[in-house]
Amino acid sequence: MRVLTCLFGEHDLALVALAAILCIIGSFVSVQLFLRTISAGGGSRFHWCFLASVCAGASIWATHFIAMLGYQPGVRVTFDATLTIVSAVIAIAGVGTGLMLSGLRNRWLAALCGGGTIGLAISAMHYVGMFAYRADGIVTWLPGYVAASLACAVVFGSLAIDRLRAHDGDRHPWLPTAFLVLAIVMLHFVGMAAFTVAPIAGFGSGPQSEVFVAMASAIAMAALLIVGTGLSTYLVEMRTRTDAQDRLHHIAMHDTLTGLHNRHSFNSELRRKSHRLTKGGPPFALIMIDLDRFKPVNDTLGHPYGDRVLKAVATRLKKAVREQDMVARIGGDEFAVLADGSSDPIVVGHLAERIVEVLSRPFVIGGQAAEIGASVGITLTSDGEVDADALIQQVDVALYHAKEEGRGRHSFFDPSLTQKLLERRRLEADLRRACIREEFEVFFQPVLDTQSREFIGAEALVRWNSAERGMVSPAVFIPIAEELGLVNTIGSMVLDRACHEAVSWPDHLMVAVNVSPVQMMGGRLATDIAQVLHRTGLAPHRLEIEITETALVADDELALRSLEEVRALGVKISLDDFGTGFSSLSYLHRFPIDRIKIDGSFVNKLPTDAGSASIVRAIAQLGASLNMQVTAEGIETDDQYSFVAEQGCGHMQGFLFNKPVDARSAAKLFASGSSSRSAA
Amino acid sequence: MTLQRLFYTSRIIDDDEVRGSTIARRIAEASAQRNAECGITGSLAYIDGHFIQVLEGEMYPLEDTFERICNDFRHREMKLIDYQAVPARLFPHWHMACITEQDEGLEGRGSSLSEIRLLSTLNVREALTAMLTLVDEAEAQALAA
Repeated sequence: MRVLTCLFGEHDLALVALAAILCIIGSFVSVQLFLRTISAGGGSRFHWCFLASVCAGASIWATHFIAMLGYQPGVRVTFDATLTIVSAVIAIAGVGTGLMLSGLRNRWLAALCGGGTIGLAISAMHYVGMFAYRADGIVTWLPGYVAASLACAVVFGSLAIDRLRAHDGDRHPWLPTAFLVLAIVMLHFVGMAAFTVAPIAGFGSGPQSEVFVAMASAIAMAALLIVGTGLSTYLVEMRTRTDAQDRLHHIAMHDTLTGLHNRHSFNSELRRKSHRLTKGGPPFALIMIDLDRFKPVNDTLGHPYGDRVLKAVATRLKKAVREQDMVARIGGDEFAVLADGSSDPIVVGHLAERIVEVLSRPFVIGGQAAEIGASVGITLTSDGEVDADALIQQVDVALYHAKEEGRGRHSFFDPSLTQKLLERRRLEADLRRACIREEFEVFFQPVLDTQSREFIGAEALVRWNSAERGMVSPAVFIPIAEELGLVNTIGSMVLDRACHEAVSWPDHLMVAVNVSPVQMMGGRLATDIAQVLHRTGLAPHRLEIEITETALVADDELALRSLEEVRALGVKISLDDFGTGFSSLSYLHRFPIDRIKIDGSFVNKLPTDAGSASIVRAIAQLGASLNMQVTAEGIETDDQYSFVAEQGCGHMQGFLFNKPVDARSAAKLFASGSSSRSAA
Repeated sequence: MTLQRLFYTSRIIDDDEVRGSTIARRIAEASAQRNAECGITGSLAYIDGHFIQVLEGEMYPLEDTFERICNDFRHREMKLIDYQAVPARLFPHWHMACITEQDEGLEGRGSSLSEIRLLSTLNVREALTAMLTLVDEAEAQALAA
């Protein structure tokens, strides 16, 4: 009660209000600086502590001093300059000490020691200031109020530090601010209640209040300047810190090379969108892009060049998609697009087409041109529950399918694809096992002379007699074996057995063995053949290797070298499936080829299909003029036989004469010396 | 910096012949303005829904220009036929010459235009010479008229 009567009865309320405003602003800024001091580490902690204690000390001191000027004891008052200044120093030094203690590891100890010290500093400042206050009257002190004021300062000081230590997040720490204000205000006014002055008769009247107001304003101004400096320092530092944080955040979420979003950023966005969709948000499409033929670009033109291509890819992708779509680089040459708000297959399909189209275009960089391409997998979301991981799996399946279908295209996910993929994986596993178990058999398709109808030899064909699947066509398993790198194993096994069998045949019969592009480019083909010939004792001129045009297209320098080495052994070379691929006359001139084999697909349509007839005729003439043997494959009818015989194809093979037979039957057949047809 | 020449073909998205010629001419006009700023010269032919373009200039502006063309969705099936360093420009006076079947003075020259298209995949040098001849002829016709 005495506190209130003291406040309202004995104070100039305007000055008290000024003191209060100063106290609140000062506390507001000080608390921010306290927070910064406590959280700062190393040397910067002392700088922050200095700034915070100057700011808080000035606020506390100015609050006290202005309120004192507002105190009207009814007698003449003077101030002791030295003690007044000492009280200000006490406030600053005390708060500083308290702040350092507030950094103690133990939170309770920090609150008690740090907050307590700050409370005591406020008190010490106040009472030292009171000693500087010289009133011309009889001064009495009420010890109860003194004790109460000290208790208030210590308790609120400790609470302020405690709440500050517990503070978390970006909001302003309002509660500690309030506690600090309370510590200052309570101490001052409870302390003032402890102080009474009784006028002594005969001494002068009250203070000259204009002078006091002017002084109060000057002090308030100075204190506000200090507080303002503290505030702007804090704000500048905050700004710098936020900028640095923004920059760090940008670095963490973006790919440094292309500036696109990175895998991390993409994943969190995918999760966010999936979550929103589950909650009834808009649908979206996930598009995964894998560059085709990027590795050769990197290998032949160098990684810095590859990087420049990737940058250009990023730019093209951003132009190909719509404004709202998110493009991310999620791996070396893998990109992803989150197409917002769209699950319409037509819209998304069109977007994917643009992506495939724009990446299929040439890249011209640094005087060099690079041709790559892209395969694209898409999965669409529908309403309801979606799982980000499931979406990624689906889009991977779709992407895999796009690649399987020949790359440079897009493919939508569909549950049957998963089935196909599983089946494919099982097939791969079976094939690996088959290589270990040697489940492959070699069959022989006899080749005959068209005129005499006598055997001239046989083509060795591989059969996979799978324990689980029965007979598997080479058309199915050879491409997979090539991809898995098993084709060399299978190829040498076929070569070995074919040569081994052929040795037992009459001397004039040859054996033809298919060689895959992978084997041809492996660089060991001639060595392998030489070893097999040596081991089996087969005369080199009785062996023919059959190659396809694709092997010649891939890398013609390497192919030429490889074939010339084989030719040097005395082994013959025959070009299989002629007419189906990139058939070019230049191959026939450039490569050492002894025989052309007309693909069965043309022979099939003979003699009715005019186109096929003219192709067969042309190839036969070509062979004659280039002095190469010509074999017609797949002869099934008498008409076909007559046609190829008329056109001058020297040799032929087909079901009309013989089906492929196993090694034992082949040996028997050749021993008897005539085809099943001619025997019949 | 070396002088480079780039030669490519592509197909227009919209297969209307008359509109195609108009688009080609607009593209040539717009690119001529840009090319003047970065020292690129060349020629654009439009035949049967196909664009055939020659670009010549310093490497960097040339590659930037081509990248911009690669980001254009008004055409498809872009094929880069040739890109190499050359000693001199073929079209030094043209920031982008344009020849189409609709050109005055080139009526009845449709066959030579088609020839350029066929030549472009077989013999770059002859295709370029044929383009140059047509550009010169069109210019001579324009001057005479």
